Amino acid sequence: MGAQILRDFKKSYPVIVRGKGVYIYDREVREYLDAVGGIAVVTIGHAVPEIIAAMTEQAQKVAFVHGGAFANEPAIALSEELATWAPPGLGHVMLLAGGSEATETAMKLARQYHLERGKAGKYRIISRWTSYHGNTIGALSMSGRTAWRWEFVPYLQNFPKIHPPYCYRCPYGKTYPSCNVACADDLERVITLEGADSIAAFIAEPVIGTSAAGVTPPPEYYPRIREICDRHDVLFIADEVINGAGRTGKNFAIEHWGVTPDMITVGKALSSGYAPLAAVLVHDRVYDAMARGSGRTTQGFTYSGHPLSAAIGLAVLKYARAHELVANAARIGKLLLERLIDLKRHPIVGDARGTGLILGMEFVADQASKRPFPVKAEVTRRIVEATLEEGVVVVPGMGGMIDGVAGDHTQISPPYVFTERHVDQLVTALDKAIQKVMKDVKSAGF
Amino acid sequence: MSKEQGDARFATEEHLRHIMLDYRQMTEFVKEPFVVAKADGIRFWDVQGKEYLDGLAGIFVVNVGYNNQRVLEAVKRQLDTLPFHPPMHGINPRAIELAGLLAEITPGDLNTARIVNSGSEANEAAFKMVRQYHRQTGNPGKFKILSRYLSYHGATAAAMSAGGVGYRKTLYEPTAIGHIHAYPPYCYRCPYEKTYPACETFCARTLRTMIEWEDPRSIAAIIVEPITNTGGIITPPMEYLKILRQICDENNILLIFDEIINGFGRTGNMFAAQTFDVVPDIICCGKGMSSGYAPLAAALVRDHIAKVFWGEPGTEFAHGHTFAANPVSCAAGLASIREIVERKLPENARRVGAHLVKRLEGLKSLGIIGDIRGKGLLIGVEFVQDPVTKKPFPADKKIGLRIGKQALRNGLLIRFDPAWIAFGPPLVVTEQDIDAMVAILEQSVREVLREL
Repeated sequence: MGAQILRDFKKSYPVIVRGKGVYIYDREVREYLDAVGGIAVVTIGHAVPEIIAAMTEQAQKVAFVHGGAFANEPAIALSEELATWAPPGLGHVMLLAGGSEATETAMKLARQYHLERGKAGKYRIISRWTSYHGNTIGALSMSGRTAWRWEFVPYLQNFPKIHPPYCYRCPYGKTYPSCNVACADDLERVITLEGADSIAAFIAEPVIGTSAAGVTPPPEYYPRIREICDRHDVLFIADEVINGAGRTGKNFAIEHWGVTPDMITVGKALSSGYAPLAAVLVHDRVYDAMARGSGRTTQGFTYSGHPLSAAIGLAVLKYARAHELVANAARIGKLLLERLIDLKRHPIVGDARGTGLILGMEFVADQASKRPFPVKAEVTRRIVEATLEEGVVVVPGMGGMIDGVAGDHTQISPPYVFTERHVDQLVTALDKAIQKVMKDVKSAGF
Repeated sequence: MSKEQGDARFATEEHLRHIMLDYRQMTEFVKEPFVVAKADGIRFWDVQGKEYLDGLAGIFVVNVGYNNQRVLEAVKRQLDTLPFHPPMHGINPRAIELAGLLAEITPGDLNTARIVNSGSEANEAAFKMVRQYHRQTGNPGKFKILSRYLSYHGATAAAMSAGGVGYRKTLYEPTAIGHIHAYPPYCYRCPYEKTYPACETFCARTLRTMIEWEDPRSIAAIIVEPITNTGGIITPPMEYLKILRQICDENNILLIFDEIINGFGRTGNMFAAQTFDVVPDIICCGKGMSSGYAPLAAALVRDHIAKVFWGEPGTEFAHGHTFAANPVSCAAGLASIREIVERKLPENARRVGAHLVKRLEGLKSLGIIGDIRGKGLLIGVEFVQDPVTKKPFPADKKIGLRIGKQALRNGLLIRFDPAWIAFGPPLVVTEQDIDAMVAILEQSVREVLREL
């Protein structure tokens, strides 16, 4: 790829030159159905004229002002709009340029919140294994993603991790509901044992993203998490960078559990990928504590509240609202999940799961015992490549959700404008790909 | 005026203002000062002349008992010969002799000693040594220390970070990075809400998953007290440490036994490594090593570790303490260990420990004993409001503290915590001594229950 550094130096990447709706096209004019929305980013589809018009209009007015010196109209309007999307109480918005900035900001605001209330000892963030909260050092400290932590481990903070609510492979070896959601109670045990006086917040993706795509905890899980956090003066941060702004079929995923977090991070879907954009939604009580205290924050980046990005985000949210796309995400998601569950007729499909349009499929060597394939069988890579050959894009789920190393799964996170026809095309491609991979791994001796 | 009476004046706030105790709020302490003047055998006397039975050997230290003539003479002789030389330019004969004796009494090939002054120092030395070991054997990424919640590994910065009791750390955060914590094998209140043996020792097996998540390439060592004091004498099932040994071997992780409390006969064998039949890569020991006649501790390492430090300049252990391997301390250690060996004190610990457990079982009729656990003369009792449901007393009742304090008023020192107490008497105790101790405990429990 010439001068540009891409993630895999040895790989030859298809060069995408344009997109339209739910399809993208490479230089050879090959068409791909984008069943992952880029990476849970694209919601309203590519090249939507209303968005192009909004971005052009704003670019003609002003593309950049310094957020440390000025406010700007699109940022003000987007914040107002986001507050109306959010659960009641989360009425304060900090605009940023990416998910990692958002989670890192939430972490720092949690610390600031406690500091301003005289609780300087509360600085650590508890998170879960099999999670991803971003790639900057603070965010990576919170991320339970073994493979991405390794090289940077000496930089990473002592942030405790609890087990994920991964019912298909319960880390406790239990079964829902007789488990009584022990994985949620685990948070209380760890807070107590670590000492609540050092714990600032708990962060979790309500529905797990790329780390174990689509894993959705039982209904009791987040209400219990909320209670535990309250008991110990620990903030609850819902990391909805993947979940938020409609992907799960509600504005914010945490609404499925009827729980109000103290902060919500949102990104990706917020701009449908038309510009780098993310945000932290802050609950009134957190904001008020800071407002009553120092009344300021040092948290800011050059592109915080960027007018052009904000105008785009606003146009995307309005478009989604006007076309009732969140409701469509719920409807199509339900339909798609049923079709994915059907694919369990293939013996290598262990689990199909998801909420709205964040879904995942887990592949196993044996359905009954749930035994995973050996890592070197590279089943995830094979599935993704075979699906791509059928002209459909799905992404590899992060390996290692079972124990840090093993585990094959794919993430499926289509744009909200997906229709029944697209679902058919996706499932047909997956069906063929699965059959091909079954044959291939068998002949490769796995 | 006797010496004790003369010292009684020190048990006043005026004098106590000048000093800070361990883990004690001095405003509380001065209300009921406890200043100890002298000791003999398993007894000591405070400055007012009141006699106490020592059910805790100080703090799991005085294994051969107080006023042991053999140890005293060894110390005095050494003071006359060479009181001090730092282990930097050279070394003294007693230290070499002690290292040799340690190699004899340890299981397996734990043949090389790093002799220091305290348990915290021993653990800190072990933490640095395991990092260097991995660096010098081609695995520089291995630096994390996996320990367990509810454990205690010392008061210094890294040792504290390895510790697993939150309130002992939160005031001193941020702790050192790379210290990760797993759940202990606390069967009476299983953190995994399972039951032994149906659990198949899940708490040990699940460490595999934790290690994979944390990344075995980043983990240098696992440190455990075979029997943990701070959580309430948490005693693992027999196979637990064997599973840890296996997991460490699979992942090139070194296994450190913190035997600072467990070692030198306390659990019924010279080391808990023998009680549980597992050879760790490092044993950290202290306390009973010198029976308290002088500050003494050590990190004992196996040959495969020692040989990594025996080579080219630059590969030596870059670590030191002025008072380490002090000749007087080493002389005390040699005499104390010889007493333990020759008088077969580990056997006595086993025999008298069994008697202690039997006597404590007899107190179950008091209706508040939930669990009795431990090995040898390291025995804990967890109190509960209801032994059937295991319902604990409300935290504000601090039942263990009250019983422990009442026992002290009645002339018995034991270890006490909000929910539990523990015995760790000198290993020279007899069944009759135990009967006297348990009688005081029983009286104290009755008095506290009446108060409640």
